[in-house]
Amino acid sequence: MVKSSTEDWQALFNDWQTKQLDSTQKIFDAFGQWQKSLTPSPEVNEDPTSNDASYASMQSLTEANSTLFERIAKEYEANITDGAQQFLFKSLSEMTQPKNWLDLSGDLFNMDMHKLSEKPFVSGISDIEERMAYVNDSWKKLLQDNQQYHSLVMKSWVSAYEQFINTVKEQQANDEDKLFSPRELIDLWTNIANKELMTLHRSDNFLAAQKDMIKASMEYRLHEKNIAEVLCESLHIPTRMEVDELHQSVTELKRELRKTKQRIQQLEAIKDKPKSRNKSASKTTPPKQA
Amino acid sequence: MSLYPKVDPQAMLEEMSQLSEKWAQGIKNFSSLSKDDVKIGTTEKELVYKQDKVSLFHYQARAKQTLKTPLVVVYGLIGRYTMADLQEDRSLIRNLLDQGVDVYAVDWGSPSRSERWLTLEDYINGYLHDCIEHIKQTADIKQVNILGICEGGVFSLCYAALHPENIKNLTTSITPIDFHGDKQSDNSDHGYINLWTRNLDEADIDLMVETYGNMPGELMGMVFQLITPVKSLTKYNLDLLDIAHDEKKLLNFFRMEKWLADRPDHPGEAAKQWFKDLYQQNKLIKNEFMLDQQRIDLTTVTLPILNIYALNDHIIPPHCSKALSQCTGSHDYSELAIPGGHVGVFVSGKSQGIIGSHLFEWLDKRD
Repeated sequence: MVKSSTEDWQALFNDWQTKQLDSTQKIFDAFGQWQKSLTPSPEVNEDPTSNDASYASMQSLTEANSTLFERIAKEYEANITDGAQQFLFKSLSEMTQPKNWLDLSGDLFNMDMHKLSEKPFVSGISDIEERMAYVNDSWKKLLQDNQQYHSLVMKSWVSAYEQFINTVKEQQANDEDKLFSPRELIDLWTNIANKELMTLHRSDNFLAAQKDMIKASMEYRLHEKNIAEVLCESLHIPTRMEVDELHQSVTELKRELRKTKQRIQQLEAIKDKPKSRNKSASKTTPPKQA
Repeated sequence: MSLYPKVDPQAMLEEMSQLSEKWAQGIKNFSSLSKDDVKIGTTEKELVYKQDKVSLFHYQARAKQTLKTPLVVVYGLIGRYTMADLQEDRSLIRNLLDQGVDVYAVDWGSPSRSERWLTLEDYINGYLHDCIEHIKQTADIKQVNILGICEGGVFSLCYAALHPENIKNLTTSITPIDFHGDKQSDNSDHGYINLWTRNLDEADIDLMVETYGNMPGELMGMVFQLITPVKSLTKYNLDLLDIAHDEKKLLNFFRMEKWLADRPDHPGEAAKQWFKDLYQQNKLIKNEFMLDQQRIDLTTVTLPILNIYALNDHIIPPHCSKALSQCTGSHDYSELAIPGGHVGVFVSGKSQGIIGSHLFEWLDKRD
């Protein structure tokens, strides 16, 4: 429970408001000075410190705010005893610390997005952010798998080139007078490269890398779709999932209708079939004796 | 010793001179050609039945009808049937029509995400069955002959197992039966798709379908290009330069490119069955493949079968196709092995007429 009285809070707020107004006034004054310095007239204020004055005022305002909030925070923290309120206070403090939300370095951003994607889903809160986290995660995975795939392919191209050069060297070493025609060289290169890449495409490493890349691209696309679904919902547009479900219903109905028609045709064919059995039976069955 | 290869200046000059001549003529050919000159699947036909995106075409007769039983050409969902009618002088369909065969062809259309939920049952027991029933009704016949190509061959075989009363003679071409047959191949160039698919987990296939709805045609195109990676690239800057001066070859090149570029997406649920049940688990040859809760037992397929395969097929290796001989119950089973690649047996100049004439003779004896 907070021990400080309402009057204490009021005094604190008044103090802050006075300082706020004073700093703001200084900023406006400095801005006015700066504007005058831009105007090419004899009355130009050539005070070189006019920009500095504006900046200094901004800085002092920021400092005043920081000092004030710090004082409020300490005052508050010192006076609350309730555990839940302490937890809330600490959480809010962390969230509002500029160093936390200003630090958008790549790794930290991706790490946080990754953490978000791993958290249990909270219904009704941050749905789009959650989905964005999955998109970010899957994009990173796709880039990694793509890189792995391409590194294997690049290695093969380099190997093909080495083979080509060695083949040429070998042939020239065996026959010093050997001269190639351009077409011969082109055919040699394409055959070697084709064979090398065909071998690569059948290798376990390549198949695994390609499988991973395809899977990553599918998963990325699906997470993208999830974002699109949210946007469609918000814009009153049917979503992909809804349309798919509709098509499924229609397909199933058509299937039933087709089967019913086929069954009717079968029954009609049976009905129309000539009753030949009765005729043949009357020939073979001897007539009854009177 | 120099690191750089010694180039024959005489040879270089000659080659450059030849290339310049070719290229000069090639530029003339390029500038005179338009999109209208590059058409495929031009043999005259009529749309006789349509259901959803599936169309059944009936070809216009080019000769007096010789066989009583019409032939239905069934391609798969990867690529399109127009490969069998690429151009006037490279068309299996024309070859058959010229011999008096009554020909139909099924076009599965261009599936979009709305076809995501279609299964192989929908295609085999649904669309294909309805097409055949339509032919039976309109032509007033009880049975048809069927020519299945690649995945269409699997469709045809399964259909024959489920509806034998509707099929007189079955022909499968470049059709995979044993999806792990590539392991027996001595040729390391063969069976990359088998290897690539087996490398994926079932969950990966599900993930692809979940992401795209269907198995994108571009993805399959990418896998095909991985089979011969550098050759796929040099096609445009070396091979094209080599033939650009020859208008006929140039047109053939562009027609092939047009067919290759037409890569429909494979409906999602059907793709799961194709890649998981067949490519990964190889259920067809084990007689474990299920369609509409019915087991496809190849031993129950007793009708006459002609199995055509390509000796240098790197997409469906010969061992994958030849396996049919060991698992069918047919007492009238024969094979036709043709030199060439997967598509080459249909579109190459060398193999023209081979399939058409052999197929006609085979059908004629069993009409």
